[in-house]
Amino acid sequence: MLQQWSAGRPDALERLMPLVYGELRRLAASYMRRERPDHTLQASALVHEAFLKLVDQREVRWQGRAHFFGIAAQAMRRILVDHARAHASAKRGAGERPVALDRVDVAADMPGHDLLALDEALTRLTALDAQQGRIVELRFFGGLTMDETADVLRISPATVGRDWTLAKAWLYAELRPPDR
Amino acid sequence: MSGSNDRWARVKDVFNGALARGVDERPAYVASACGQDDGLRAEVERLLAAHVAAGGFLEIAPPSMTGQRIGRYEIGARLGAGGMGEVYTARDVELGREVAVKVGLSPGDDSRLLREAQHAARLNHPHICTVHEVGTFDGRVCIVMERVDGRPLAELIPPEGLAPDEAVRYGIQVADALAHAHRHGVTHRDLKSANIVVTADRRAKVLDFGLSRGLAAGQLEDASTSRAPITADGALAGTLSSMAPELLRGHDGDARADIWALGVLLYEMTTGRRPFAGATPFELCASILHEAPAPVPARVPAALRHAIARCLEKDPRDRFAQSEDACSALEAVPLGAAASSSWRRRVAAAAVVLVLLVAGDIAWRMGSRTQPGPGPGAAGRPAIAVLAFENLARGEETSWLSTGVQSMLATGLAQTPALEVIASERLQEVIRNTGSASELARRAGARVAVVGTIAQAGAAFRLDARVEDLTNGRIVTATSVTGTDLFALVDQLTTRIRDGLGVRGTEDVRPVAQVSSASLDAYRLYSQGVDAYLSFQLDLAQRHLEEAVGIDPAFADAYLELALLSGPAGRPAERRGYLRKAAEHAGRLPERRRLLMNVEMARDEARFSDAARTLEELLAKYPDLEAVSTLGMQLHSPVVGPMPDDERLLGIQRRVAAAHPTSAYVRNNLAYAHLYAGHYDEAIRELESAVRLAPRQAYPLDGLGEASLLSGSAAKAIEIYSRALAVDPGFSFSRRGRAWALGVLGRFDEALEEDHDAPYLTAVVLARAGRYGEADVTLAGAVRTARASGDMTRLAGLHLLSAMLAVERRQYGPAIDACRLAEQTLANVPDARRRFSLGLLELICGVAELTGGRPAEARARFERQRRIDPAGLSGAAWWHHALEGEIALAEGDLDRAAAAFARAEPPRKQFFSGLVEGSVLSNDLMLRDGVARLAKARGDLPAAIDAYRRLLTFGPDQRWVAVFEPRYVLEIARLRAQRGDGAGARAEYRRFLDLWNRADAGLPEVVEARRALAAGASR
Repeated sequence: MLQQWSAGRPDALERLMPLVYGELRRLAASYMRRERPDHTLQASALVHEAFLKLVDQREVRWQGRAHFFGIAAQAMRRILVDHARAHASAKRGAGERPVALDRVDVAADMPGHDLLALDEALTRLTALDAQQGRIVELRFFGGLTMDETADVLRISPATVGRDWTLAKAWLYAELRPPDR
Repeated sequence: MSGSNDRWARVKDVFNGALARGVDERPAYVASACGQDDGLRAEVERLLAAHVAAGGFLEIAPPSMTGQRIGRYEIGARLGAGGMGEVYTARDVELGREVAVKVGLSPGDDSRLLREAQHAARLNHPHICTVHEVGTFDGRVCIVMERVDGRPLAELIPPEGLAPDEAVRYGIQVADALAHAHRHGVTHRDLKSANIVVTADRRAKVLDFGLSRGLAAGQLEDASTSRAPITADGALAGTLSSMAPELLRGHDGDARADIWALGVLLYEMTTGRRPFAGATPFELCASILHEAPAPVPARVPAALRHAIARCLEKDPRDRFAQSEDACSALEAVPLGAAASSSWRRRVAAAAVVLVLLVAGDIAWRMGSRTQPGPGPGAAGRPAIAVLAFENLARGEETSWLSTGVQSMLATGLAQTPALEVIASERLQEVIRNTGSASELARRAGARVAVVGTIAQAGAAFRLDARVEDLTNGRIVTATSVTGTDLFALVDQLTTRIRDGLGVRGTEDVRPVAQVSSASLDAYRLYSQGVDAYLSFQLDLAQRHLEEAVGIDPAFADAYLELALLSGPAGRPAERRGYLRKAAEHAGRLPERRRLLMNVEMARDEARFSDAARTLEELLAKYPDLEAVSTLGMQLHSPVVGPMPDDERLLGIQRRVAAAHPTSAYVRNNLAYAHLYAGHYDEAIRELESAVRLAPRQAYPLDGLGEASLLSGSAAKAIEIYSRALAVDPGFSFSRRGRAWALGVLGRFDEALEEDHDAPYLTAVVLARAGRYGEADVTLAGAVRTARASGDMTRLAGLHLLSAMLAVERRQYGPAIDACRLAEQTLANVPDARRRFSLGLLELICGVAELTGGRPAEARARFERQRRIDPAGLSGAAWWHHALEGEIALAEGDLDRAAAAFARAEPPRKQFFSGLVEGSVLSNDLMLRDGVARLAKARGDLPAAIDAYRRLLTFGPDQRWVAVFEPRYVLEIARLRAQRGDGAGARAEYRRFLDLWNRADAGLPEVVEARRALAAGASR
């Protein structure tokens, strides 16, 4: 399907989303199954692993790769946010390892921060500036580098850099009011 | 909208413009760019301030290589970063081994580094971290090397220095490594204690051979003339203080500069200090060039002192000419315990020569006073740790033997129930966390460990094994076996180690091949599969294991691993298939694995009593299996287990906790078993110790908060939940717990401020405050979410809550509608979970029918409720009595109501783990005032008032952990008014109105209270 997609089939893009979402979820779940103290679940690692899994790299042109990461970052955001929600209401003290649950927050590289709040703030930022919202999604949830992000969005790395700086400042100001 | 876009575009412009300028120029620039627009200026300044404060916010260690693949290496977690680049763990997927990959910091001309690294890749020595491969990736130099788990030697040297025999031991290892490298024309150039890692079995490994570029000429000049203070642990300081005088003078050093550095290292190990020091780089250089180091204390053997002095001669011609000479000098230092190091060295040098130089070939016997023994392990049996063997052959096709022989030997030894064998999984965890052998001993409960080497000559293997006392490094027993059949060799080793430890009860022990596979290839694949499983490479694990059973179709343990693998991967059919296969060949399983398989099979087939029986057996024989604790919860938890059983659960958790005294997880499970049984003090004690064991985790504190709340102390619970949230602000269980505790105290506004994502709890609190409108909205949103996510259990709970809120408002129609929805939803909930909610459903729906004046319907519900799995209702049968009481009360049969209500209290305090909706509902059931209403019906007003007061007082005697119920305050007001206590009634009415100060307008209760107060005032 990815081949079709890199060949320019826009409908393949929508159909790919559940596939990527499913694979990422499966990977995340299996990673959390056998928890090790030194293990954190890194979004970028999962996204790359899903890519290896779903795509035969030799046959996909670069553009396909860029699009894949675009989709995967979105899927990863959904997974982490869904998980944070589920986490907030899962059962406890009943055979499930509580340790496993709080690892995912670490995984999102947001110690001490609320992923759900970020998700909401990011939605607001996207309303204000769609490109900046997308950049944060790709960088933070997809673990993409500046160059990869620039490739996905077809803009220059310098623009990515500028927008990323402003987006971070804006989100930071939203999430941590200065009087606290 | 376009206005807001324009505005944002201007914010962006000014912000970017400001960042393009220096920090000093920004304020003036922003002021002029914004002109009169104060709003714009404030926004830009806010963002600039945030930009400065944001630091690493949202930054993911850039640019992480994790998850990428370089050739045949899959890059894993980042281990650290240094001047030269970053180091990652990685997996060689072709050879299935763990490696470390060093990636150069930036693309650039690193051709010299590349050449040096290729040079270093030729080195192959047990005390040199092997470089497997060198190349470039994305323009960055990549060096793939052996993964060494351990701690830097620098961290192991205490302030007063190491014991001389330790210093000599590591000194010999390092000198031998240098000699090997120098023979191959490779010098180190940056040898220092920070570049040497000591593994858990106290083997030194020199890192970064030939990879250091030393200090560039300019750097050196800067450094040697700099008068800026030296930071004690900076990399520059370490490098400088190990530099030989000739290097400082600008000459190219040779091997003898490494010998100088060895001298510095030996000096540091024996004295705890570096030989040369200075407050600034300039002073340090002067000291190296011109001063003699302070003498090494006389307690250090003279031979060692001389060797150090010889290394530290200022003129390279006066030092040892070769590192071999330094090595020989160190070996000549008279020390008893150092012999083992030289033994190891010679084995490495001549692998096939059968020499055993052991510090006394003593077979240790249990009970002996003179020699250290294994000591009782955590499970109360002698405990022994089996570490990975060092593979001297280093051939790629035999690299698996390192863990392969370890697991074979563990399998062999673990068949003895009299011996507790701590296998790789737990050990590796401890070593990774602490890197220290004595810490390993303490945590894993073992005092002795088996360490060994594998050598190969043609088709023959030679296994050397030593049993070491981890507390002092002494060898307890040592043995060596040679032959071509690896399985037979391991069996011999097993017998000798067991005899050496004097362990009895070995009659049932079978050869390893019989309890695993007789095919070495199959065992190799199995061993690689298990390794892959433990490092989360589930697909690779599955492939290896499938190949293993392809070679040996009767390899039961490989099938069991495959089953354990496919369950969580969401492939239940495969899991069942593999379990069946494992069962077919169960004779080939060691006992502990066979028992584990039986429990898993029984659970799969819903034969829960079989599962429980087998779990008991497993517990009796192998209490040290952590899996027993988890399986106990899964089977016997009164909340989610198919066989709820407090006592048995407690028994299991007690045993496992005794075997795992340092596991916070197991202790947490034990505490919950106590909580379920109503033993609050014990639960609190266990949780307090879990908090000590895992101080950086929120979950033990969360458990402690819950236990405090259940034991009747809401204020304390609030304080503890706050502590949990300080540890981990994202731990939403604790937010929910704190909201609940605040609700219990009637602090509704604060409770509603908690952001806990538990809408049913929010709805309950809102309704207690009389804010039904908001409660309904909250519930509707939660229903939508639950429906979208397909969570039927939750959805049913939400419908039930709606029904209850309708019942208490006496809205019959909506109540019955919600009951029907709950019923339909519950039909889709799996059986074990449904049972939990059904009893409650019939109670709420039954009372709804009574409100609607339909006693016959209520009776039918009562009958149906009676039929719900009567055996499993031990904890929930009170629901049944509660409905019986309600019916009797409605029918005016007060005696029957009294008898029923007397039993309509939960046998233990209602916990709120497990199905949260269910516990919120049962805790906050407005109907829990049956006894009070009965007293009222009998006309005994003081008893009724008393009953309500009890319900409103939260404390140790309270059965319910309920959010404060203002309606009961209203009831008291009515009762006091009825008794003619006008002043008292007015006080209660006022209290009620105060609690309902934000209640929906026009609620009949509010109208009633206001009217009563107004009437009182006019009187």
